[in-house]
Amino acid sequence: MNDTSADGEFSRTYVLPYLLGVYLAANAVKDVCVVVDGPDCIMQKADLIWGNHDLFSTLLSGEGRHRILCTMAHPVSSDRSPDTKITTLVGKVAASGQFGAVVLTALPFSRISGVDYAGIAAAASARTPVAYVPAKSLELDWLDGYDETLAALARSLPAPRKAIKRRRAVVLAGYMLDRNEFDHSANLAELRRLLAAAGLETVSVWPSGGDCAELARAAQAGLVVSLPHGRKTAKALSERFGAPLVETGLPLGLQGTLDWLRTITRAAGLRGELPVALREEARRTAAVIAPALPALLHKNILFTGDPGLYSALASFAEELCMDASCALLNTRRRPVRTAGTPAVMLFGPEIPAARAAVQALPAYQKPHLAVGDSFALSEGLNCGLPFMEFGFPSYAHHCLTDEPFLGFSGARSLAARLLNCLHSG
Amino acid sequence: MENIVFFGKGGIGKSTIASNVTAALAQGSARILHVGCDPKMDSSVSLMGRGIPPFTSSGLLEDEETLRKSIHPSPVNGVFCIEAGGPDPGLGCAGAGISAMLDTIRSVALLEKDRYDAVIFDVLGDVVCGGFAAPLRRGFAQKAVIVVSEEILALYAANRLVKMVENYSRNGVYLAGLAANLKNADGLKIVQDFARAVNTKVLGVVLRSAEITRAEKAQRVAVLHAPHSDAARRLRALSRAIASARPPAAPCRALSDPEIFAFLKGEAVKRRPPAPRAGPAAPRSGLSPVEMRELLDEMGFKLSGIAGGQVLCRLGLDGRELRVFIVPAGRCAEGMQLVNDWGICVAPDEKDVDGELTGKVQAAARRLRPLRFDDFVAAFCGSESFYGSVMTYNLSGNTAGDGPPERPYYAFGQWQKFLFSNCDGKFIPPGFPIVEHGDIECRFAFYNVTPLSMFQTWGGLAGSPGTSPVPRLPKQEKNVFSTGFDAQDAFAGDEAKIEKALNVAAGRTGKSGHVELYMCCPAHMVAGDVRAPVERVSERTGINVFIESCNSISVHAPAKTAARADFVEKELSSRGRRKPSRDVNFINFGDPRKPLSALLESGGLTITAPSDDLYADILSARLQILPEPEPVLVRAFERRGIKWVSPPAPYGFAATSRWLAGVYSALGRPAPRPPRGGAAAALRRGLAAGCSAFTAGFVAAPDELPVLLSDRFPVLGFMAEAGFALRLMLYAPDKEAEKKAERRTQELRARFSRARVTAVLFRTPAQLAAALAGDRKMRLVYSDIVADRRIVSAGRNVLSPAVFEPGYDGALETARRLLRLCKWNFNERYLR
Repeated sequence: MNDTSADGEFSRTYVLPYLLGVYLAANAVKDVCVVVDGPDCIMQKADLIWGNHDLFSTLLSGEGRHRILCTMAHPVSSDRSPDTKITTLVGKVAASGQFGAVVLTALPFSRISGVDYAGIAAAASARTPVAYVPAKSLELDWLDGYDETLAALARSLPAPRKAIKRRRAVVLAGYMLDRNEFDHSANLAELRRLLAAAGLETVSVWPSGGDCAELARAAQAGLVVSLPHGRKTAKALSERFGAPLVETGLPLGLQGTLDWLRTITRAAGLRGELPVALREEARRTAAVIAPALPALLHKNILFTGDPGLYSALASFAEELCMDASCALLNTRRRPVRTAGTPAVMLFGPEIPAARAAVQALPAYQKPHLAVGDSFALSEGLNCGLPFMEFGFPSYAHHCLTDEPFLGFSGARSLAARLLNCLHSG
Repeated sequence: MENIVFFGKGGIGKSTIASNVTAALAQGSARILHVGCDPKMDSSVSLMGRGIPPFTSSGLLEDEETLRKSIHPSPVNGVFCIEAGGPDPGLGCAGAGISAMLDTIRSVALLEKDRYDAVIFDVLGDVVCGGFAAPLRRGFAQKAVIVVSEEILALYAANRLVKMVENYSRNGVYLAGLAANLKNADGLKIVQDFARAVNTKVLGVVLRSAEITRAEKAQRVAVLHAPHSDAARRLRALSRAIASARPPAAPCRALSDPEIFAFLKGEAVKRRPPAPRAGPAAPRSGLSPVEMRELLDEMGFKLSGIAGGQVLCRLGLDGRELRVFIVPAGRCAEGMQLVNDWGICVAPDEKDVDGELTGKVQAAARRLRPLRFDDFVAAFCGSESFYGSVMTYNLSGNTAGDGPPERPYYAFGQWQKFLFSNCDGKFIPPGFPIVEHGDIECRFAFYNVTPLSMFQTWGGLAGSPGTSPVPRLPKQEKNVFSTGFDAQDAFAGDEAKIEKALNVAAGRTGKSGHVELYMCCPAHMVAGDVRAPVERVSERTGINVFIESCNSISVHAPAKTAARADFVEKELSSRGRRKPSRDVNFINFGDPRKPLSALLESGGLTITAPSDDLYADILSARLQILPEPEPVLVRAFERRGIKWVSPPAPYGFAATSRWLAGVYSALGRPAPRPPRGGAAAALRRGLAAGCSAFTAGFVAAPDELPVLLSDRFPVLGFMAEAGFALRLMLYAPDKEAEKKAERRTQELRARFSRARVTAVLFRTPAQLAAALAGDRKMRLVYSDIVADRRIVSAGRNVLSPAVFEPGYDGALETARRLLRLCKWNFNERYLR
């Protein structure tokens, strides 16, 4: 038998699919139901989230009351009018009174058939809005699916009738809430607390694990804060509610958090420096982290996962005099803001190529620890290094107690995790 | 902004008219985007004076910059052109290209940003799929213009297009009228008659002329090439009429098939009355699904299916059984009788239905006036839950006439299975070439559906704790790979990719090897000629390709099994004859391999240590132990005279003894005796005494019970041996199911004569909940769902495969764990 070497075109790549992003967004809004035009093979993808990554996910249920439904459409179907069937199904779901919104999307083959999903969604929207998420699995990845879903909701959710815009109120758009565990609830509590300390009220977070009514409070915001995982969502909210928009990174690390707060307060029209209390808190947090620094200094990090998270983590690493020198990113190619230039940055790499790239690093750039998702471990992308599981999916690290990674509290927690990970190796 | 779309039969002069209208509209210093939606890519030639590279050749489809590069300024002032493009004739899916282009135009908000005064869409002749109707989607065209001639086929096609515009009226699209492109003025009358018949008007008339032909030869539009000609004058008049068209008071209405045929024959067309308009619906009946079904039966209506969102019934009238459709009011067609929020009609293919019979049907229907449409659906699926109706629509699909589902609550959002027999995957010989032709969503799908799913494993004994699957990246190995079907494959055709993938597979399998090619949904949709590349590669390389559907990965078709077995044999042969140095080799046992190896080693057997080379491992041992008689391996072993055995799984003392007996007997040695007496026996007796105070519950449909008795994982056998009472909670929605449940219970009682086996039947979720909460001694309930909340919230503990360990020691440990679980009251205390 000839040993044909791995050829790029047909080898396994480390990219997560678009529909998974749609499911993650739905997982983060507890009264959204997703209807996918396609066969029941779409259901199993939810297992990456439900019960594995997110112990509190309600996407599926033992009673069969799932929040993901399919139409059982098949390419070789005898449906004379697929539009009618989808319209009926979506109408049933929307009229059930059990959901705050319905998201309609499709598998690629259904899209190829040219069904008018936007028209169907609009026709089925009544008291419960039906948001159409373009079926772009052939072109886009999970982060796009996440953003497209939230953006579709932003365009579709009814605004409260008497929404009075408040100048000092902000909406955080595009927060990556990949699970309903206590890492994210702690993050959101931290961000709300910090913004309040800076003189701003957070009226809504897109998404926060709450319901559509909570999302609709975005109409009260005087400023839309665009987070890295929801640029389209933020834009849609800004256009929908006529609030100005400010683009930020993730408030990860001390400087990252201070910069984030400064950007938002300035955009909200608050003049002057941040309140002293916040700057003091940064100093106190730094003092807590300081004893850990000797162990962290000059250590190189291999990151595997989502580019948005990598960008923020790389900045924090820089702050700690560490280097996030390698990035194996699980998306298509997209712009990534980094302080320096990583020695390796691969988008959706082939698995063997990714391992080889890490192994080929010069001695002083070789990573000391790996930070990344569960696939890094299962595919051996952590290259045998001490491993800190972080990001989506995370099957072996769950948060049953507050464990933020954003803001000042998050900086402490994350520094502790990095330290413990290094020591575990 | 005016958004206008031109449709019409192929070759009728649509592009000529559309490009002239574009130029004429631009003459008023307007800014016009001309969008060619025809894979021939010739719509804009007369505006550009040349062909332009189409959008779908640009690669990055989501990109605004790429989209803008596809937009070309025309020499005609104010006009910009873009062509969707399309594949070579006979390949790919041109409609997908048009859809993608319009999706991108919408997602980057191009029309709004660039402030066009008008957008003209020129769509190919025959709208063969939804992709070509894409300009009628929300946010694109508002006005549709159908180009028509006096020819019969052109009028027939025009009628179909009127129907399409009707379908898309929900998006605010209306038919502005017809553009008549005639040989001469004599043809005008039939076009005018047609316009009247479908409730529209003729916007303008263009006659065939030499000026138009000359302009086209010069790759120019007639309104500029011969501006003073009659043709140009007519085209400008048409443009003005289109521009000033407004939504009609009454929408267009396509002729039905009999009507259009009558029209084309020149007969008078008697139009059916318009569809009835729904009034306010009466309130829900308040009847339960069972009562509703009884009422329907009483009235002579037997529910027989759901198709296309309609409920199908059989109605007994005048000694015959008529098929009738119950249709939601919003979708009632002409001639239907509206009753409540639904209407009724006799199936169109029923014969000898006269006015009198129709009247009787309508009278029967009026007696059902208290029922709403949702009542019919609830009666059909046996559930008022919307999940029930959703699943009913799904499962019924278009397979009408099967009658109500046999298991109304089962998988209908009321409750779903506790047992899943699919926790084990399928064996594919290592190195066997498999090509999946699907997209990234297929790769991340269920193992039963696609070969490369993340759950793709063939893993050991089902019960062992380590075998619970955790999602991983989809499988992709040297010889098992996905083609990664993408957008370009959809637009331009996928034959080249299939051929390339097969060539790679052929290179790996060698001459006369086998390759399995699994076609996933997008490939089916594009419907390329898969046989052509398969034949080419087969001829060139000598490989044998099995073309399979993505659903058949786990189907052991004889030819496929034989091919896989051939492969295994070849792999074994390629390693040469070796004298086995070990007694036993475990194949695919997963985690239980370790304790079972220890058990055999304690009896003096030698075990092959697993390596990366399964075939070398096989050759290293005298006996192969399989968890089940896997057909491929069994066939290969038997052909090569390799000794193998697959005794029932060793869970429990008796089963372990049987398993050991099976292994040792295959080796021709006496099996060691099971441990008797001593501390272990005392422990066993103590555990059995403890277990006998408790009951283990099992929820299932009667036909599912064999899963719990299987040789691979005999849960019921173990529980009975450990001393537990067994309580079956069996789903029995009707008398027949009750009989089956009774039969199964008796079988179990006979099989486990020492165990106390009780059964309770349930029909509804409430009855199941009562059964789960009822027996206080029932501390354990089996479920394959992790931390099944139905069990936890009843204060019971989940009995799952993760508890079970193989072998004698494993049996003791399992009994100890079970007993501990029985006494563990966390769920009862806090979560009930």
